[in-house]
This record gives sequence, structure tokens and C-alpha cells, in this order.
Amino acid sequence: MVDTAKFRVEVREDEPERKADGETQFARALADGSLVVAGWEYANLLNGRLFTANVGTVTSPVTGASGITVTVPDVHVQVPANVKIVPVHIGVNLDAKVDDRDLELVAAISNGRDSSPTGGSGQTILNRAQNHGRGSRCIVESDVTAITTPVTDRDYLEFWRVRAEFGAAPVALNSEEGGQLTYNWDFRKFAPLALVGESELVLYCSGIGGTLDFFATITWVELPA
Amino acid sequence: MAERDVDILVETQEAGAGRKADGTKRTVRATADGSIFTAPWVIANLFDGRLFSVNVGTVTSPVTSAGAVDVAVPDVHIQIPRGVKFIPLHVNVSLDALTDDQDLEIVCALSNGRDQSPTGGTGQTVLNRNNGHSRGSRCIVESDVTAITSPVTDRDYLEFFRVLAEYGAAPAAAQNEEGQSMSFNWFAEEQMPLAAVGPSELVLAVGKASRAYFALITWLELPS
Repeated sequence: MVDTAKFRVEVREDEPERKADGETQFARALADGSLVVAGWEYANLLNGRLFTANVGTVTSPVTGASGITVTVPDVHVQVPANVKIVPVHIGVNLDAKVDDRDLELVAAISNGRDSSPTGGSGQTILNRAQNHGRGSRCIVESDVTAITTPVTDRDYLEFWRVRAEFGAAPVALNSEEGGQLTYNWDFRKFAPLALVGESELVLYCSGIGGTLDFFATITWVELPA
Repeated sequence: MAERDVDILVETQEAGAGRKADGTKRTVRATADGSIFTAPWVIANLFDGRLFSVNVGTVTSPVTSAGAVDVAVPDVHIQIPRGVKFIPLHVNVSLDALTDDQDLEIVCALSNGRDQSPTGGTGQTVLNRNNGHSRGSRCIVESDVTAITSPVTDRDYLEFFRVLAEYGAAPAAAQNEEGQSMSFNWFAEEQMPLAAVGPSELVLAVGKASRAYFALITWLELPS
């Protein structure tokens, strides 16, 4: 004889009762029996494990390097020992186009960490659950002038590359077409990756033929390793 | 046969989800309103060390493609051995430069045959996307392959990514050519997944003429 079971949930579409952590309750469902679920991002958000660093804010962008030099990242994220981070989104916005100045955007990880980069401006890391007391253990800097190369003797993986040739910048009365200057990477489309400390993430927002000003936002889930 | 009702009970764990070791039984985690938290399948496979990537060309060193698309002369060739199931998740091709009047054709395909001894070819390193995991890929990736047995004849040949573009004059200052992105992406999430079961192969060709490019291929590798 085979026993079978019908799973039952509780319909709670409207104003479901909210229980404190540790309390047991029925799984929530809609009136048609659809199970209500919340994504992994929300699980980590509510648990205070989702962090973001802004590089450049309001009307003050940061200036990237002219040409990619792998030891001179425009943004450098240090992941210390016993920490695992999963990047979930990177947004890069160019502040303006410049005639004949092209773009080469690269984000990469390596399983080494330069914990004492030269130069660099510290960037604040914020918990995306703004009332949560958990802080990030990572360190984010922009405008780094030198790190140990992440390529040699390490596992160096470029996980995002954008290349664009812009030609003349759009101006009134000319025929160049304007275009969006925003580029996004997200883990759902581009596939996730994990950095287990000690590791580092590097972002290059390089102009070709000169520098480009940019804003960047890097968001990650930070877990114990 | 006996049938009974089973209530799904969950535990509210919004702010303080304890972390348990592998093999530990635990209650299902939920929000305060009883909604069950879920994790994407790719995240589970990432933590299990089953997501891999290969870069073809890095930093400022692109690779040069052979020229017009010829699937028997792939610019990137991945051998998928027996016992392996291979699910591509993302393919990126970034051109290094535009050239006057040089058009683009990108083709990426799977076939259920495998040429184990391609002619020419430069081996490329496959990396685990979880850089703290020691699992290695069983696939073999080569660029600049000069000949393989055609994946089209007598095989199931499926093209899953194709890009065509006509460029005209390359953008330059003080002229009217339009600037544009030179990065092209295929996403399983958007364009639907597919699976190759070894022995199989993946081919990537970047034409229509020889051009410098970077490629990134990411996949989920499972036992078949």
C-alpha cells in the first residue's frame, strides 16, 4: 500500500498575519492555491546581507583611467578571509560622451587579494536594509593607482565586458543620434559567481582616447564562507 | 492506498536565519507573512561548484577570428565528454574595434557529435565561478581551431545564437557615423535554455571577416 499526501496551504491574500521570527505558521497562499514565495535576494535583504557601494553620487562622477591597465582598477573590492560574496548587480553610467572617445568596460574577479592597494579613495558600503545593523566586511576603493596584478598566478575571470565606439558626441543640429549611457550586469541574466575570501573584484571603466567620467553602483550578497 | 492531508508549516525567519551544516534537517524558512523563501537553481549550482566560465582573450589582448563563418573552423570549440550534461547560461562576444565597411556575423551552435582531435587550437583555461570551490570542469575549450569534422553533416546541429550587423564607416569625431555597442550577449534566461549531453560539442564563429574579439562562455556542468 502506498500512502499519498495532499499538501495544504492557507489562503491569506489580504492582510496576512505577521509572525515573529521563530514562530511556526502555515505556508501562505493566494485564493487560487498558488504558493506565495519570496526570492533569494529578499531572503538576504531581510537578513541584512545585501550591500551596495556607490562610486560617484548626485552630480559628482568619478573619472576612470584612459585605457585598461589591469593593475590600476577604477574600482577595487577586497573580500577578506571567511567571507563569501555573490555580486548581484553592477550598474555603470557614463556622465557624458566626448567626441571620438570610446568605452571599454571590464569587471573581473581573482582569488587573490591585494589588501594594501596604492592610492584609492575609500567608498562607503551601505546595507540595503537600512535599519539593519549588520555591516559589510569588504573594502571598496575607487581611483586606485596600483594593485598587485590579479592576472598572474591567480584565477582571473572576466565576467563582464562592454565595448563601444561612439564617434562624434550628439549635438543639436548635427545628425548623430543620442544614445543611452547606462550599462547593467545582473546575476540572473549573466549567471552568478562567488568570490570566497581572500579575493578581489576589479572594475575598469576605461576611455579609449582619453578618460570618461562615470558613476558605478555595485551590489552583492555577503555570506560567511 | 491511503491519502491524507499534510499542512505545510513554515517558520518565520526574516531577520535571523541560522545557517546549518550539510545534512542537517530544518524547517522551511519564510517571511513574517508565511511566504516561503526560495533560491534560484543556478545559485544552488554555484555553491555546489558546477558553474564554469572560460575567457577567450582577456584585459587588452583580444583573439583574432578566422574570417567568414565556417562551422568546421570554429573560433571557439568546446568538447563535452561522455557522462557530462552541459547547459550554456551566457555567451558574450565583444569586438575590439570596428573597421570601415566590415560587417559582423556571429554564430554559436551545439551538435551531438564531438571531434576529439581538432586541428590546431589554443587551449583555454576553464574556471569555476565559485573561486573557493575545487571542482574542475571536464570540458575542453580551444580557440583558433583550424579544422574539425563538420558538426552539421549527420548530426543534430542547433544554432542558438546568431548576430548579424552591417556597419559602414567606423565612427569618428566630426563625422556623422553613429556610435554603438560592440558587445553581444546570449542569455539562457532570456532566449531559453538548452542542454548538450556528451559526447557533444559547442562551436562559436565570429565573422564575416577576420576581426579581433573577446569571448566569455558560461555554463552549468552536471553528470548526465
